[in-house]
Amino acid sequence: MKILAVASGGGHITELLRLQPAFEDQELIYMSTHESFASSCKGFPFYTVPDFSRWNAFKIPMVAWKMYRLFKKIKPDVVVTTGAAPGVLALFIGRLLGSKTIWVESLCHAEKVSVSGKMCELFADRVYTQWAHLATPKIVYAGNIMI
Amino acid sequence: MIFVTVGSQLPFDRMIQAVDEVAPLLQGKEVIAQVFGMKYQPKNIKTLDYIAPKDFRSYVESAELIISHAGTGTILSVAQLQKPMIVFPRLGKLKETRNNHQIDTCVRLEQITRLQVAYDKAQLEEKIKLFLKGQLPVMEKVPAHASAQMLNSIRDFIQPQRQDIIAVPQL
Repeated sequence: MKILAVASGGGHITELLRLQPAFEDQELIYMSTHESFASSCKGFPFYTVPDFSRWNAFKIPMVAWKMYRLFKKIKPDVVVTTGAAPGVLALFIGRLLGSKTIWVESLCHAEKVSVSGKMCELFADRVYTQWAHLATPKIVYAGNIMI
Repeated sequence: MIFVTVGSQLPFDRMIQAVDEVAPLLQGKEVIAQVFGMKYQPKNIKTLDYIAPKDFRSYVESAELIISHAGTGTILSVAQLQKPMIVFPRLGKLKETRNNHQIDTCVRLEQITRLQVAYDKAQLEEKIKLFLKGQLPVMEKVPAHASAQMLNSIRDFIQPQRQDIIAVPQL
């Protein structure tokens, strides 16, 4: 199965890389928002897309178009992301094109589910939180990426 | 060497200023800070605007103490290397990040790990004094990967066990 794992820089990609053993027997492909993270994803195909956040949302159509074209080429069976905003878009496009979609809420959302997490709850196939007290019937807690 | 990092996304001059003001306590140890969009002019510490991810690790490895904003990326990398670390969370109300998630995460992580948190300059000074006396607790070593529970859950979700979908032929 083809797994496309998507994350922005910093903590998001650090958290995503820690999920790697879950995809051991699959064909794994990474996508991030800066070329410099290619070195962290050594040994796997790596694609970049431009970054955006809710503060420069005007970039969304451009990023969406670039992602759509990459997704058409990659044809992932599963799209998994640890955020941030570009991850939400990736899940949305993945869902439109028929991939199974997984949102893993970042460890740093310890008191409430993020806005991105709540958006993904509407259309993603699976949403994880890393904190037991934030689990709901729709948001799954199954341990965390740390310990 | 003491390595200070604010992460790669937002400025954090309040922490840099606190470290700069506390730096004379450090008995001449070199302080190198990775900063972002800084307006403050430090007097006692050396600053770098950008560090590539591959160089970041070598700074962390050669540091005897890491002082960082409370970003999960840094906390995880440092905890894996078992280095003394003090985190200084960003405050939402000062617009240092979009909300108080760094404070919330620190409060929660303090309950389940030995993460060392300084919520203000006075606490930073205290923790640095502890470090100089060799008494600063080091956070538990975190494994290289996510918990087995999480990995198994994702694996099962991606590829449900075969026996669930094999239908018994009806004769």
